Amino acid sequence: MKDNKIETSDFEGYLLHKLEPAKVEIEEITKFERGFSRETWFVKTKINGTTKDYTFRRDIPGGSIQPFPLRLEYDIYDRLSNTTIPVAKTLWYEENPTEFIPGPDFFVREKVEGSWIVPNFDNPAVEYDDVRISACLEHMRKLALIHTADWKSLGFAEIFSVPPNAASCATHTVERLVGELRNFQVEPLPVVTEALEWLRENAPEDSPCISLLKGTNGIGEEIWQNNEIVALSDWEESSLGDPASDFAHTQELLPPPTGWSNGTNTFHLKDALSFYESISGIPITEERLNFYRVVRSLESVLFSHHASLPLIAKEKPLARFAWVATEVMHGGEMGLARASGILD
Amino acid sequence: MRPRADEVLNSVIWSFDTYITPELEEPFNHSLALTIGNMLRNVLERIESEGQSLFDSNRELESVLLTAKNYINKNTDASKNNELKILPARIEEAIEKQFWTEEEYPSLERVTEKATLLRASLVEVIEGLQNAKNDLGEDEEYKELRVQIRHYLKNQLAREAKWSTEALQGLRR
Repeated sequence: MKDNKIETSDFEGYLLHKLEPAKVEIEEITKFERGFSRETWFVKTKINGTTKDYTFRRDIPGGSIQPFPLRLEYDIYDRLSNTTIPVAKTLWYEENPTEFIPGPDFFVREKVEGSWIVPNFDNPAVEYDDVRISACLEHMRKLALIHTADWKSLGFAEIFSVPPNAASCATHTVERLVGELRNFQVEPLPVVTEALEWLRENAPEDSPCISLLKGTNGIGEEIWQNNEIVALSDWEESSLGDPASDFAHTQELLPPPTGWSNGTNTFHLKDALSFYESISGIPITEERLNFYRVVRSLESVLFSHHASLPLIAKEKPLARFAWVATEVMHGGEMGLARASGILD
Repeated sequence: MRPRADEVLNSVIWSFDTYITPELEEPFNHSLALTIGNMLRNVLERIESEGQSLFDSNRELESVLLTAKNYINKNTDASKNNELKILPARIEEAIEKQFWTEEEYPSLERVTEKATLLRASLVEVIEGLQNAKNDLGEDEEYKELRVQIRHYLKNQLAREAKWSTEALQGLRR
C-alpha cells in the first residue's frame, strides 16, 4: 500500500489473514469514483476457486465529511440486513486494520450487482419520461418500505435520537442538528443563528408518525438492476423523524414542477406523493416537504462546516473537503437565507 | 515583485486544466483533478478580493453592532430578557479589540480574527434580540435593527459568493 492507494496485494494479504482460506485470487479492484464523503472499493475475488465479490468502505483521507461515524453506518446496514429493505449484507467491521491495509477502520459487505445509473433517465427527450415515472414509482415503493419499518424492534432507538412524539419530529430534528453543530463548531455562523428563528417558528406539528429515515436518497445513492432498486446505499444521513424529510433529500427522482408526461397524462409531484401514500398509508404534505427542504440547507451547513475541521487542523484531507467547506457551505447558507428572509 | 502570486496561480490553473486533468483516465483521479482545479480558482479569487471583502465586512458589521448597542442600551429595561444587559459591553469590547498595530500591515489571519470576534458578537446580538421578541417585537426600531442585520448578512453572502461559487467553473468532481 502506498499513499492511501490499496493495491491488489494488500487485499490479497488481508483476505488470506482474515478468512484463512487456502487460496485467494484478486481478479479486479475498482475504486468507486463517486465516493463523496467515504471511499468504496469493489473487490472481485476467487476464494479457494469460488467467485466472491466484496465491497470495502472506509473514510477518505481527512476523515469523514459527515459527522456520522463509519461504525454507525455499519450498524444501520447490519440492522437492515435481514429485513425486506434491500441493502447490501454486512459481513464484518474491521476495527483493527492489520499491516495489510493500514489506515482507518473499514467495513466489508457483500457486493450487489447493478449500477447507480438508470438507463436513459437523464435523456431529456419526452419519450423517456416513462423511464423517469417508472423509476420514481419504484423509488416511492422503497421509501414506503423504509418508512413503515418497525424501527423499534430493529434496534434503531439504540443508535438514533428518538423524537418524543410524532408532532415534535420537526422541532426535534432542528434541535438535534443544532446540538450536533455545537459539538464541533469552530466559528460563529450568524446566518444560521438568524435562520434558526424561522425554523423554530415554522416547524410543522402534523407529522403522522416517527419513521426510520434514509437521509440522502435518489439517483446516485441506490443500486439499480432492470429498473428495480436492488440495494439502498449511502445511509450517512439516516435518522428517525418525519417521513416528509426523506422527500426533501430525494435526488432527481421527484417530478419537476412541469411534471413528466407518459403520452396521455402528466405525472406531477402530487401524483408521486399520492402513490406513496396509497402504499404506505403516510400522507406527505407539500408544506412539510418544503419545511424539510430548508432543514436540508441546515444539514448542508452542518456537514460542510464539519468538512472544514481537517483543513483547519492542517491534516492531509482530500481537496474535496475544501470544496465542500466552501461552495457547499455557501449553498447551505443561501438556502437558509432564502427561507428566513435574509434574501429578498 | 512580478509575477505576483495571482499571476503565477493563473498560469498554474491554466496548465493544470489544459495538460493534466484531461489526461487522467482513472475516474477517481479525474474527479479529484476537477475539484483541485476549482479550489485553485477559489484561492486565486481570494488572493484578489478577500482582503478588501473582509475589510468591508468588518466596517459594515461594526456599524450594525453600534446601532445594536445603542438600541439595547435604550431598551434593556423593556425586555424581561436579562441577557440583553450584558451585550452593550460585549459589543464595545469586540469593536475596540485590536489585532494589529498601526505600524503593522494586517495579515489575512489577523483580519479574519477580528471578523470572527465581530461575528461572534453579532450572533450574541441576534440571539438576544430573538429572545426579546415577545417584549420588543412590535417596536419599529427593533424591526429596523433586525432588517439592518439581515441586510449585513445578505451583503456578506454576496461578498463570499465571489470565491465560494462564482469563481468556480464546470464540473466540481
